[in-house]
Amino acid sequence: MKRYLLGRVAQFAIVIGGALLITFVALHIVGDPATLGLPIGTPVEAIEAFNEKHGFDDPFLTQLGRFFWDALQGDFGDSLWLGGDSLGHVFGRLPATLMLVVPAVLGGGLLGVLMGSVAARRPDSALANGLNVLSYSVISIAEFWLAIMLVLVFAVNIAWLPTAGYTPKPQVMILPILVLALRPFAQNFQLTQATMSAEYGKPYILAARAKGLSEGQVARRHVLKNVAVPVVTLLLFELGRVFVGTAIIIEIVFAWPGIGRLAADALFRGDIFLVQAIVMVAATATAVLNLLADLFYFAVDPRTRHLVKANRQ
Amino acid sequence: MSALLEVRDLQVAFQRRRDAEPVVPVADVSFDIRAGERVGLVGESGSGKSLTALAVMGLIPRIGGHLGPRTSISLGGENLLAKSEREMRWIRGGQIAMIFQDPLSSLNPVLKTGRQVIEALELHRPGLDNREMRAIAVDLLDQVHLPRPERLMDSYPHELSGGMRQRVMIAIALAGDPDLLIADEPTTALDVTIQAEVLDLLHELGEARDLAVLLITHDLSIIAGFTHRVLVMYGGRLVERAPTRDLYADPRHPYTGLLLRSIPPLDRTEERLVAIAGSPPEPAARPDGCGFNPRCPFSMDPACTTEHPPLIPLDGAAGASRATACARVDEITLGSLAPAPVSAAAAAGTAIDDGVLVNLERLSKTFKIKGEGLVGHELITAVDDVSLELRRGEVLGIVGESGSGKSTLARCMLHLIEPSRGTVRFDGRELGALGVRQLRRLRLRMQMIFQDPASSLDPRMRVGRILAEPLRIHGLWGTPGHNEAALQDLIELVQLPPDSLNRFPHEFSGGQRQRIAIARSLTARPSLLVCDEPVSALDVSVRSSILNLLADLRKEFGLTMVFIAHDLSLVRYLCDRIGVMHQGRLVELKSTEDLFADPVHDHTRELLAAQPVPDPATEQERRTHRRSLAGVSR
Amino acid sequence: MSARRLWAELRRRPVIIAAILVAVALVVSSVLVPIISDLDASSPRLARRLQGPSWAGGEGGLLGTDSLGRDLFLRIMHGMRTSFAVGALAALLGAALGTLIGLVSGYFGGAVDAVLMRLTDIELAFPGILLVMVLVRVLERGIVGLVIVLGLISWMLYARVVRGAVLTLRTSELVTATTGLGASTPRILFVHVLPNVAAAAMSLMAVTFAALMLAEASLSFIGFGVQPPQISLGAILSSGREYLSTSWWISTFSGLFLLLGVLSTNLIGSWLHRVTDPLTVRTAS
Repeated sequence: MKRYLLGRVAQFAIVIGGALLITFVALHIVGDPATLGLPIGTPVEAIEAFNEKHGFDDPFLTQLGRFFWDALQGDFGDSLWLGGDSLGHVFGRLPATLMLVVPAVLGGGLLGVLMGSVAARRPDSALANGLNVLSYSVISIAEFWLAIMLVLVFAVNIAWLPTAGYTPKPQVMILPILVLALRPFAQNFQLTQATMSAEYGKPYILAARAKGLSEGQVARRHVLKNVAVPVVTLLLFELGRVFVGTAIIIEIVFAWPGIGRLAADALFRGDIFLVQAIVMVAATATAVLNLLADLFYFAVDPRTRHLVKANRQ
Repeated sequence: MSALLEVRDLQVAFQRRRDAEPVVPVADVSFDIRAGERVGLVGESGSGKSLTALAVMGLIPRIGGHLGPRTSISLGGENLLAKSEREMRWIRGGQIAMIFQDPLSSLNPVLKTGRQVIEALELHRPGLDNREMRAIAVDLLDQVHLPRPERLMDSYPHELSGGMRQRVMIAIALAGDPDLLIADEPTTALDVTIQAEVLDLLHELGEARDLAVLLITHDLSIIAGFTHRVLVMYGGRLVERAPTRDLYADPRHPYTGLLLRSIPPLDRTEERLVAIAGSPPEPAARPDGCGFNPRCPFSMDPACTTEHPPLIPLDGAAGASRATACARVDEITLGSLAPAPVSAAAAAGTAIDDGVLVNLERLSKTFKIKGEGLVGHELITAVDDVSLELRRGEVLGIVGESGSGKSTLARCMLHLIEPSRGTVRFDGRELGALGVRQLRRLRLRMQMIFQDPASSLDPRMRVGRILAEPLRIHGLWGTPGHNEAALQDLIELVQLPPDSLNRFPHEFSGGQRQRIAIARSLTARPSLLVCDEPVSALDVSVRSSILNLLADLRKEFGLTMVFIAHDLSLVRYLCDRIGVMHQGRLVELKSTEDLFADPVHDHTRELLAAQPVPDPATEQERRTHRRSLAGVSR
Repeated sequence: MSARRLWAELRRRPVIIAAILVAVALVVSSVLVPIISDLDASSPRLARRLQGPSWAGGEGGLLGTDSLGRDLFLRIMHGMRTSFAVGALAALLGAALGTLIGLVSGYFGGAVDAVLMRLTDIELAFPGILLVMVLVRVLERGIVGLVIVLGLISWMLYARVVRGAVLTLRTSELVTATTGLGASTPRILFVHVLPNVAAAAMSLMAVTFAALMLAEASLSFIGFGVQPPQISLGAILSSGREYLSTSWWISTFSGLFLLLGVLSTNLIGSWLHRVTDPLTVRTAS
């Protein structure tokens, strides 16, 4: 048991270390910080001064060591574009993003779970088939296009809702949250439907029915706990994916000042210090969510607590 | 005495698609069970026996099927089909309880054992408070003879052994104090010694509680000493119904007769087994007329091939208690059935000589398994210090329960798994000292057959390619004697249809697939053939023909064989010497005659005592014997 | 699964047949239309800028024109071609890489497996699109760079799936039996194991293909993808945003065609996955 937990924590550390390494290699080895960060036509002296100041002339291992050391203390360098501590800027933009992502993923995801369990109970019903077609359409749709179409219909044509802009008012947040919620809804719907149908085919369900349990009791007492692991894992994964993936594009469409827009702007300006802060915050968040998923699995499924198979006779 | 359960004209149908013909896996099944009576329902896979049980439980609609219009099922005089779902839930687990084949997957893996027992109490004994329910649950676990029931309440199913899990299932079934217990292959997944214990427990509970038991099984041996009456199903219909004693003494349906004669006896060595041709039909592709007619030596046109013979009561002393569904029941004598003759080539075959082919010296194999601690691991010794010699042309049987190390020993013998210690000599050469290429080359001469032919044959290759593969691997394909014609001969040798080479493995039945695997092992004319439980995964009615084939081949090619099994009757039929394995050690090794006449090791005696035989009198005697032994130790 | 059984399965699924027809039509027209058309997709014709579709009362031809007067239908077909090419090539690259890693990792196990699987974890934890943006920014911007980057972020799923399949196969009687026949390790891996895991990888490929088409469009939309003069649906869509209130057709139709392409491949892919997945096939038979 301890071994399992320690193993997971070690894996978490390896993932963070690996992410740091990839970031360093991408920005400092493959790319050249000065070329990325300074405007075209900067005089050679200025480039040299820039490299001198940030120690980019030092030997590779010295740079790598310094990068890791600083990163572990939360220091990713001062932003070239905005000035001041990069990490501070990232945390400053965090609430705006979370305001959209959390309600979207939880709302959409839970609705998907609900619909998925309904569809699993009535396979081949009109409702299940309809939801299936809907989920495939939703997964195939480009979210930014949908966002634009919604803006076109609701804001431009009938002017119900404002098109964009940052005010944490409900009517402003409706469209971005709606768009962000679609994919978590579809993914959770498909997963719940699939795992629940598989679970219903297992012998212990038949045994539970043979005990005299009603279908509701079978679902609540037996199926739910077994389906919970993959569903929660997906929800946490989606939270991470939407947080750093979809949100970037949706924030651009809706001019929402979150971490995603910050990332796009920082990349366009070649502000490598800000970029590495954003990347590491995103990677850490994803890794933490994965760790949470593993711990949840550990808490729910007793089989993970015993690595030695007990059924050897 | 009126019946507790009355089933009339049971028909179960599945309609997969609206436009398709419905598949009818169960038809025209009628039977009664009286209070406190133990009835065996015997059938092979696809015979419809489990669906019959689910129909009694009212669970057919839950798995997507429906019952026929004339079907009626009543319990204690009340029509179950007229009950509402709510009333049926009260009956399920309350009046009729059920246990299943695989106790591990029948228990919810994420709920504690105690919780799953208490759940049944909540449903069927309302009005108890938590403390009372816990006390009753502990008592139930105690009644099924589980040790330390208090502690078991808080363990999870995966922490228990297979036999303990099945006892938990039985405790759950008893929670509602049912009148009828349906046990669907309750011991198939268990070892023979555990099987005997579980059956004894069911027998004891049946007697003590006046509990009727419907025991569903594919194995005619295990019910011989257990039931009052037996129902035999084949192809979705009942073909024979008889009091247990009468059925074994004088089977009347050809299927029952052949099946009983095809089981190798435990008390004598048989030269030859009665074999049944073909394999049991799939529910969707059953023949016209009597379901057994394509395999029946007495089948006649048109009496057997046009109409389903009804289950007709037999006249005579036993009265209406016996019935059979055979159109020619009055004309045939089952005693005339003779075993298939030994093939000419086999009869002219070679005998054992004195040379040693394989020599195992102090062979051990340990596996590393991740332990509970932070670092380090546990060592599991699968094979522990085994030495033996295999003479040319002899057949050595290895018996043991699951986990005894018999399969690992077989794999180590061929260096399919590297032994941890000790040496294997094959024809004088030490396998461990050979280079990779030399060992691969030598593999042509030592071949293996596995338990599950479906998984040992590449599903994406045609049979012709599968059989040629050993020759292709060694670059022999196309050399003289190694061509299509040779493969065709091989196909005929193992009695497969002549057009087999061009077909894929999934187009064959289980028994035929095992024949393909046997043919493949013979392509390169090996000296040694290791068979790892070659018939365990097959239907009972096809086992004897595979055993006969192996016996023929052994003689025809002068093969040296190792035959691994958990069933003592199989090794008795085929083997010259038998080794018994227990917890990785070879505890006893002697000639077949001596082993059965004079077993020395405790475990050998245990196995012999637990091995079921298809004879009611013997089985009852042995149960009494086991009970007195248990009484002493308890 | 044999071709005949696949066809029998397909005949019962009108939606999938429709999806296949749509996908084929899109591929064929995106290849043919740019060749046949006598118009130039890139050079501006300012006199005809922002004309609506002819059927909606405009004078801009089938789907109207864009802000530089170029024919929208022609540009969308060019963009479709880019989408298909980038999606297919990147999926192929990811599949090849992932299958090889999964095969090696699953069969040899031990330290090789541990290292490769930790690498997979790291990449999976890495925010995909952000990584792509960083790499695209750092590397040269072109179709080749984009394909490589997208391939590099999509191999992990294959590696996991193939590794899982190999792990079950490795301990199966199939591999033991083949070893027992005297086959060498490469022969076991490539003649017996690979064909049996290929189906899983292939069906996964159809699904990732669709996802990668979307990823290309998303990247081009925010300016990190295909650069002019190469034409991409995402870029067309983005260029239409400015004129949303007056010339709605630019963003609408480019997105609609993207949806058709992705939806049809998604449907085909998930259907293939269902019918060829060894797990579902085995339990069904």
